[in-house]
Amino acid sequence: MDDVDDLTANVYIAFAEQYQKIETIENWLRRVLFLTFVRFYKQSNLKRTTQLKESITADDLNLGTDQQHDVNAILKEIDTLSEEKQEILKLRFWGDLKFNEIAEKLNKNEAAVKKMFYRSIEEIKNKLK
Amino acid sequence: MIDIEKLIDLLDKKNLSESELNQLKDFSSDPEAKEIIAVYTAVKNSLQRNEHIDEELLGEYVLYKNNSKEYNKILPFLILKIEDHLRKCELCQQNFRELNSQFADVDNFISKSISTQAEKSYTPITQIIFRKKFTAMNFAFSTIAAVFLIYIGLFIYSNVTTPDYIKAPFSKDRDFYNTRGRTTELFQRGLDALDNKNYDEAIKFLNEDLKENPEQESIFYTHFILGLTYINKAEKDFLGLFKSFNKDDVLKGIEHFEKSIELNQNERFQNLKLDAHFYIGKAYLLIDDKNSARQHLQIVIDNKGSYFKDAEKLINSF
Repeated sequence: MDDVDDLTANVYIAFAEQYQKIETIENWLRRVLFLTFVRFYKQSNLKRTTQLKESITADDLNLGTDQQHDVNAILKEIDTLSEEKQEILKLRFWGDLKFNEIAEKLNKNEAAVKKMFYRSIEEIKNKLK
Repeated sequence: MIDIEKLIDLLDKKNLSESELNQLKDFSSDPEAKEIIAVYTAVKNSLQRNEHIDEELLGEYVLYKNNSKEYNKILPFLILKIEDHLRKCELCQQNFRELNSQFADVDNFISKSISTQAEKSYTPITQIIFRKKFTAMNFAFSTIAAVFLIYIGLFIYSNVTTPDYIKAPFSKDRDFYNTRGRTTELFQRGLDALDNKNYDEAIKFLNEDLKENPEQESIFYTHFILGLTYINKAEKDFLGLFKSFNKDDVLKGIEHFEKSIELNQNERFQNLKLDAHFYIGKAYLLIDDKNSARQHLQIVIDNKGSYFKDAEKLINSF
């Protein structure tokens, strides 16, 4: 029953947060239920996929961070960011866009986009404390 | 105090030089920097699949491909990239097919849930989500439990957040207009359609009446009924919850009520002008224009229209 509780709670929380913006409840419910499934699907996929990389990035270093964050917890924190910050994070990571490309698409200047990106990471860090 | 921006820049870089690698290692001895590194890495891993498309992004793409208007607004910026990748990647194509099929189940579930003639053949949402974990009996029980809980929660929320003047029916007596003096065939057919809640047909007949008899003295009454019809047509809800009104239709209704006031020159029907003001006031409340509503309701109160007590109640309620 925990999963049912989670599903119900997800719908309530999403509803409370987005009530003012909902135009058609039916479409909104369709989206929330479907994306709830997508997150379950994503988590089960994460357990079995390995990620391949070609170049050396920070991920390749053993930087001594022993902190591990649950994907679901991180996704929930991302959901609480302002719409603008979510857009920047998603364009950066989902789309792998450079900051100047994000700035162009969102009609902002690059420095402002970078600042918001930094603030988003800090904000999530503070919320997870 | 660490330079957070510098640190995130390094973490975000695709190819690190030798000196940048060393800078990053220096950072990692600081406890605050360690936290930033952990969070940055977690955010990245939550959203990025390196060589593949993130499942949530693919989910948004599925919504888009199924003509949903509720997809993430950054999706259009990424569509070319997604489609280009899908053409080449078998794994992502497989994910897309899986998600697309799940969307069809969800769509089916929602459509059947809100249908007045529900069939029994849809797949319960919890079965869709927890397919691998539950037995058939559990699916059924969980579905009922989840839908019931969601409905009760939404019912309470709807009841608390919807003002009384939205919840109440727009016009109380559906028969009150049958006794009035206008008798053209088109007008009467319009009334019949309105009584049967066939609003589109009522609008069609009443508009034809306006077109064929524009000069008749009692034509203002057709405008009045058209006003009522548009407001009734504007009403929408979800499973009886969250009653709301389509703004365009409400405005059309107001326009016809105003026209009925303008054309009503018959002394015998002066009270109908005040009724029209009352309905205009109520209609403005439906679209949350309280100032305009107040003006029209005040006219009803000042001139002691037949709805003056209702108008007083309404004015005091907002």
